Amino acid sequence: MIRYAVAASLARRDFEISRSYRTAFVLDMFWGAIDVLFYYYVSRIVGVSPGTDLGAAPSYFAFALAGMAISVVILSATTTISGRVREEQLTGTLEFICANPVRSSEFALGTAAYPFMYASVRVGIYLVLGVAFLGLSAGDVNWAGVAVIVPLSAFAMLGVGVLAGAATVVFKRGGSVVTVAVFGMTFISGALFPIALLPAWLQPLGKAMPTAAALSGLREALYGGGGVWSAGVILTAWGIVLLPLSLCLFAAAVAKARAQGALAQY
Amino acid sequence: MRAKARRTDTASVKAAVHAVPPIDSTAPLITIDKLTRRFGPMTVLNALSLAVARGERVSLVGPNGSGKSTLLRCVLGTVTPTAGTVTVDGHRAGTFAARSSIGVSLAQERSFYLRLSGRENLILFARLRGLSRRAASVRVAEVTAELELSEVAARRADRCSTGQLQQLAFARALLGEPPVLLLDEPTRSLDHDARRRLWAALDRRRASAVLFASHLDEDVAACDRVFRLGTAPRSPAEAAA
Repeated sequence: MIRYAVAASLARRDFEISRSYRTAFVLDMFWGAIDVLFYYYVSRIVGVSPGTDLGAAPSYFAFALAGMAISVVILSATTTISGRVREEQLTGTLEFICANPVRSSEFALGTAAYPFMYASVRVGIYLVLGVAFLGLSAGDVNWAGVAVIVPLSAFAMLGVGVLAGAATVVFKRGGSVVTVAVFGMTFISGALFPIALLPAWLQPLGKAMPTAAALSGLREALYGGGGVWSAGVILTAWGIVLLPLSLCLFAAAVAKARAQGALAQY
Repeated sequence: MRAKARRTDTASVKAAVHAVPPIDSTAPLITIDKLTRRFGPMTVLNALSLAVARGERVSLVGPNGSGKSTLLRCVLGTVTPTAGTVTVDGHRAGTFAARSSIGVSLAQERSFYLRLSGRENLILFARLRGLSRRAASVRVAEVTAELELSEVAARRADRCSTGQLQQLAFARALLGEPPVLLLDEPTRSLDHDARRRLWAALDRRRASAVLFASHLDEDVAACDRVFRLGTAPRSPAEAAA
């Protein structure tokens, strides 16, 4: 049984800590906007080869914008958790969290909650920028589809993030391995260029990734297409399989750290 | 007005503490049976047995490295025994039920979110014990008033001194009014008044079972019993020699 109030209190903790670094908070948002502008101008000077399949996206900028948005959500659900666990180790609070009546699942979900909410705000800013200033058409957007695909993308990838957190509890360092793995997943599943441009042998792997379903789902929701709900089903299935498995492994990792006496170590 | 509110808060805590049922000193709240803990080749604790009854204060005494903190962590459940068993209020140490019964202050100030105020930290840890936000706020106000920490709690943790953080750690241990208190050198950096307030708070909680590690004679004297741990841990080779 998960006590959501406990997870919510951990999310509030992260919000308060994040808010205490006001300059970084503002700069982070600003950097996101710069990222969008970067791909906007790249798309204006670099043409797309005839015959390149951008799916439902009407332009390369539209294609990349969805890729950036999903990447932000996926990173929030994955690397942020291992980073947060590492921070808890370094500040000495991990042992105190584990000494309290807090379940591993509550800790994992509570740690993931704020980064996901923050990422959702960033996605919203990306889309508003695209629509308000950069020529994206808001008329065709299936907003309900966007509202479903964004959290489902986080749900599908949360298991990977919890696994990364489990690895950090046991091995301490390892965040960079997770970052590379998640970047690789988004890279080969078509975040910033179509999967069809990859070597033929790599394409099936790219299509099989949960990130591929997240990307195609968001593009179809933003630019029209019938695949939103099928992408939603795929993402849900990934989450249903990965999340319980990863939560069990996270609990096992904490148990192993207790056995090693490593909860207070860094 | 503020002073009146503080008196009222303190009065409510005293009333709550006085409402504690009569002490049953026969039931052990902490049971340690043949506890051994090794770290690699080093045996830090070797077949220790100890029972602490409800209402009993046991002082853990021993030289640096003798395993006082390790023993407390085994009871807390953040370190599992290599051999032997530890139970807290009838539950195996480290289980959810056992953790719910324990309030702890470890001998380190590295246990707070430094960008949050003392109050925000205490409210968070109260909420982790299952209190609603409102109940957590009330409880934190009561404990900080009792320990005269209201001003310290308003400060961000990274702006508190070591002694102030130690007082906040003690306040955190009291948040859930747990029946078991594990205190690892809680008076180490405290001034005379803060030590007096700490002992007064413990005196108001005579029903609690307390394991109290300290090097100070006055702390040891204030406990009901002394449990001595041996010399510093030895590797098998050192033990054989």
